[in-house]
Amino acid sequence: MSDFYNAAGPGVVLGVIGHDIHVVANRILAIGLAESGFRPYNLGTSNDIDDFVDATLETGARAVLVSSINGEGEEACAGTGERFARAGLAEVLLYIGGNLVIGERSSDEVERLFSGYGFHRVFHRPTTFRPVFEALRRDLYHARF
Amino acid sequence: MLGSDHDACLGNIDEERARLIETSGTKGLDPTTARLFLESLPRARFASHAYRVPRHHPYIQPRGGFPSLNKQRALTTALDEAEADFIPLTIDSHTRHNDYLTASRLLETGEKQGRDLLNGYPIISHGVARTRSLFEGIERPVSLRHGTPDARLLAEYALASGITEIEGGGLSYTLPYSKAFPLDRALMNWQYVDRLCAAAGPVDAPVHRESFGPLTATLVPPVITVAVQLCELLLAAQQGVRSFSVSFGQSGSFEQDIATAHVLREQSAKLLSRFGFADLRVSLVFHQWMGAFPAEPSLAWQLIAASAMVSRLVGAEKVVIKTPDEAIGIPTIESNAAAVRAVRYVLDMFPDVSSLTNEVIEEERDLIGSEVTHLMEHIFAQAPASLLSAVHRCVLSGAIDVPFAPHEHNAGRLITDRGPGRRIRILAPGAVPLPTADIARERHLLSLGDRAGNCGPLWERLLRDVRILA
Repeated sequence: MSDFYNAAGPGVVLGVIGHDIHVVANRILAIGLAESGFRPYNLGTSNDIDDFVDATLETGARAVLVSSINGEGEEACAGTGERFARAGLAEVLLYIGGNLVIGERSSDEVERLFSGYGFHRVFHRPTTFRPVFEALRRDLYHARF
Repeated sequence: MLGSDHDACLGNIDEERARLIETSGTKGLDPTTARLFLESLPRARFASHAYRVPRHHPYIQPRGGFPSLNKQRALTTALDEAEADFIPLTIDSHTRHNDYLTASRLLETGEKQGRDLLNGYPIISHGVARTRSLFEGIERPVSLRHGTPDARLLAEYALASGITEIEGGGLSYTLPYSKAFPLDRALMNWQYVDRLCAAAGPVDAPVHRESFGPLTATLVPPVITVAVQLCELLLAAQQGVRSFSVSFGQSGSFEQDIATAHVLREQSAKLLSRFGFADLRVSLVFHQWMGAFPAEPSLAWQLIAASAMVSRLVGAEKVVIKTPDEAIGIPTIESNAAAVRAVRYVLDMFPDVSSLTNEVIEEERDLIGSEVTHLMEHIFAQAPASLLSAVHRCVLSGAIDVPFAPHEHNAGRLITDRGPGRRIRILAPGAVPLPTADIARERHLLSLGDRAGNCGPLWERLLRDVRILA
C-alpha cells in the first residue's frame, strides 16, 4: 500500500479480533485509511487485545480501530481501555466496529456495552466507512490542536 | 533452474507414510491400503479416466458435506440420481485445520442433539470403512473438496476410501485459508500429497489432482491466478502426478474469463513440455461465481445459469457449481440436486460452442500472456535450487501476491480495481514483476470507457465490488 499512497498522516493500528479469517473488509478499511490521509498499520485477522496494545507501542499510532465480525468481540474486548492505560497509552483513541454482538440487540445497548470497555466510538453494523474516517479526522485533529 | 532439478521427486515415501499413519493412531490403515483398494475399483470411479473419455459438455461438479454419515449418504445418492458427473466430499473446517478431536466431539454432540454442528464431513472421525460405504454402488468419481494446508492424513484417508481426485495445493489452500500456517511447510505437505497421489493410483487410472484457482475470489487479477496454477501444476508434475486440473473462478467479465482459459491452457502445455512432463494430462476446471451471491433465489438462479453458459464459452472440462442457497448457508440436499439439473439444462442448450473471439478477448489474452510469461520467468530465475523454494521465496518477496489473502506472508501490496466491461485491472503491481509496458496497458485500459457507477474513492469502489453480483 505504501507504494500507492505514501500516506504520512497520523498512524492508525487496525485489525480483526478473534478467530475470524474474513479479511476483505479489513483490507479495504486499510486502503480507505491510507486514501483518507492516515498511516495504517494493519494487523490483519485473528488478534487479541494485547496484539493491538503491542502494535500501538511499537508504531506510536494515535488511534486503534478494532474490528469484530463474528460477535467474538463481546468477550474478547472486555477491559480494553484499562489495558491500554496500563501500557501508558491512555491517550490513544479506541474505536470498535463491525458486527459486534450475536443476535439482535439495540444499537444503544451495544454502544453502552463497548463504551463500558473503554472504547471512545462504537460502530455497530455500519454500511460504510465514511463516518469512521470523519470521526477519526475530527477526534485526531481536535486532540492535536 | 528447474531443468537441473533432478532430485525434486520425493521418490518412495512409504516409510514417511507409515510413520504419519502410526503417529495419528489410525488402526487398519497402512501404506498399501489405498493402492490395493483403488486397484479394485471400477474405472468409472476414477476422475483421470473420466477426463480421458470424450464428452459433449463440461462435467458437473457440485460441492457438499454434512457431518453425519446418513445425511452424507443421502446427499451422495441424490446427486447421483440428479446425474452429477462428479460426486463431492467436502470436509469440515476443524478437520481442515487438523483439529480432529474437536471435529469428533462436535460430530458426537451433534448426533446426540440431532443437528449439524460441523460445516462438512469429518472424514478422520468417521474413518475409512464408513467413508467407503458412502460410495457403494456409485459409479462416478468422487472429489475431495477442502482447504487444508496439511492434508497428508486427509489424503491418506480419502484415497483409502476410494476418492480419486484431490483438490488443493500448497499455495492455493494456504494463502486464502490460513493466517499463520508456515508456507514452506504447507508446500512440503503438498509435495507429500502429490507424491502419494502419484504412487497410490493404478497405472491405467492415476489419482487426479486439481488446483484451486479462485483463491480469495476477490479481484484476483488473471496473472496471479494463472501463475499460482502453473506453480502447483509443475510442483505436482515433479512428484509424478500424471493427471491434473488447472482451474479458475468466474471473474465477472466473460471476455477476461475466455482469455484466462486460453492462457492457462497455452502456458500449461508450454511449461510441461519445456520441463519434460509432456505425458501429464491437463484439464481445465471453471468455478461458478465464488463471490457474494444474491439472497433472492430467483436472482441466484440467473447467476447460476449465466455462469454455466460462461463455463461452456471458456471450454471448461468441468464446472464446479453453486446453489440458490449460496447466500444463506450450506445448501440443502434438494437444492444441490436441483442446481445440478439446472446447470445441465443450460449446458444442453449449447451443445456445440466453437471458440469465441473478438478484439477485447485478443487484447486480454495478449496482455495476460505477457504478464504471466514475465512472472513465471522471474520465478524460474530465482537462485534457490528447487522450484519449491523459488515459489516460497516469491511469495515472501511479494512477486506472487494474492489480493485479500489473510496469510501473514502474503505481501498484500498488489492493488486491483474493476475497469470498463467489469474487467479486473492492476492499479498498483506492488512487488509483482510485470513489464513496464503491461503496467501502462493496465492503467490505460482502466482509464478507458464508461465507468459510470464505479466512481468515488478506491475504498468505496472496492467495498461495492465485494457485492457486485449480490
